[in-house]
Amino acid sequence: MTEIVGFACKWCAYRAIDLAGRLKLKYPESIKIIRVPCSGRVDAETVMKAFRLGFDGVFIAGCPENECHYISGNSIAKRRVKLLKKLLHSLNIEPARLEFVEISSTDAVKFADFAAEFHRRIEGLTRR
Amino acid sequence: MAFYLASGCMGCEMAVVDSLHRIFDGFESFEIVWSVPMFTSSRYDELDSIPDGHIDVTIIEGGVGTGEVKDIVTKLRKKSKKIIALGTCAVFGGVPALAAFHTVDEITGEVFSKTRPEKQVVHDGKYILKLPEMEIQKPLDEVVGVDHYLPGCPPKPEVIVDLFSNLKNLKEKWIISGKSVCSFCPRSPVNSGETQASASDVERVVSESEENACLLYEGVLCSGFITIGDCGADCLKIDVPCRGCYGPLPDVEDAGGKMIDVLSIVLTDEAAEALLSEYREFGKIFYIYRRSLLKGGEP
Repeated sequence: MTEIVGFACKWCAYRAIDLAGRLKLKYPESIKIIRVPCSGRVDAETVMKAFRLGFDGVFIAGCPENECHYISGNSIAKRRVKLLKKLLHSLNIEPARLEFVEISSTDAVKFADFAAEFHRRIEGLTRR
Repeated sequence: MAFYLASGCMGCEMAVVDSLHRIFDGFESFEIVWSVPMFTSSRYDELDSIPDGHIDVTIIEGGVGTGEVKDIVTKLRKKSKKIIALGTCAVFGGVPALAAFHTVDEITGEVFSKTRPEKQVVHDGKYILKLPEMEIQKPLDEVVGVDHYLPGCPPKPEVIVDLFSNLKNLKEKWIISGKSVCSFCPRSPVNSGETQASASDVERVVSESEENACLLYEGVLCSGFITIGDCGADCLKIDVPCRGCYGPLPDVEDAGGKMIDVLSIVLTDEAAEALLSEYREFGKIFYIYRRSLLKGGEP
């Protein structure tokens, strides 16, 4: 079974995911969410660990641009994911297995759409 | 005692020789029962006649890169009470562990091209010569248990002197100070009170950097902050960025990940783009001297 872990910032993305639940929007059950204080605090090391533990996909969900509660956390996360994708490529892991997504706290629909799309994308890759 | 040069370059054993005049007295209380290829002229078959657990301390330099080395270190583990991994190759896999980014076939193909040697040849009609089976280089502790780790490429002679004077009562698993290269670096921002700067470009060598400015803040790829600093930051003192030859500190789980963690904070978007476009791939830059955990096992 596909296993995806998502790190969601507690100010925006996690609230949107929470809202998605309250609105009874459906998203794939392969996705496990971990709430984090800020998307910028998700270490590349942690992402690597997730892949080492065998997760098929990892995403980091943060606030929309310029709306980070800690000023620049989301832009750090965005940059980190960009750099990390290249490192994953060297390690024979498809960069498409990692994604950064901006979700505002009210945009539950965006999360549900992203979750479905990301799940489909990971399913489309050969199994790890 | 026993010494063995596994898949290493002999640099670490030369470092032992460098410090020999200072550790010579220490050798009096030890007898070297088996050593390949330095100090004595032991043979592989002599190892079999040594009883299990007879050797007090075995010092192994280099990782495990062939089936032959694997057999010998496994035997040495049985015969020894303690095994010390000397040097970065033995501790982390070292530069040869970059082989993990390729397959054995790719590497032998690159080196020997079409004239690949026979695996076994018969010489003079009676001597059978076998080529050792090449493997992707691993650190020592992926093959046998290691009691003490002394990284360095090679370790400084002073550290080796310390090792030999304490050989009988070693306690710590890691024979290191536990500090990073930054702790010894004259350019460390901690010394100057400099706050974080944003680099707008990325380089691998120092060009016209400000004197005593942190290289990382200038956008030079310096891995001093994750690297064991027992070298005393010698490279930084002559304006060379740290490449990480002592290997990452024991609490660094993934060296490449840690590098990216810091680079994504220090670099601006433009610098990150420059890094992405200038380097074809990151693996061999960030995992030089240390084996990536993710790649573990078959590629």
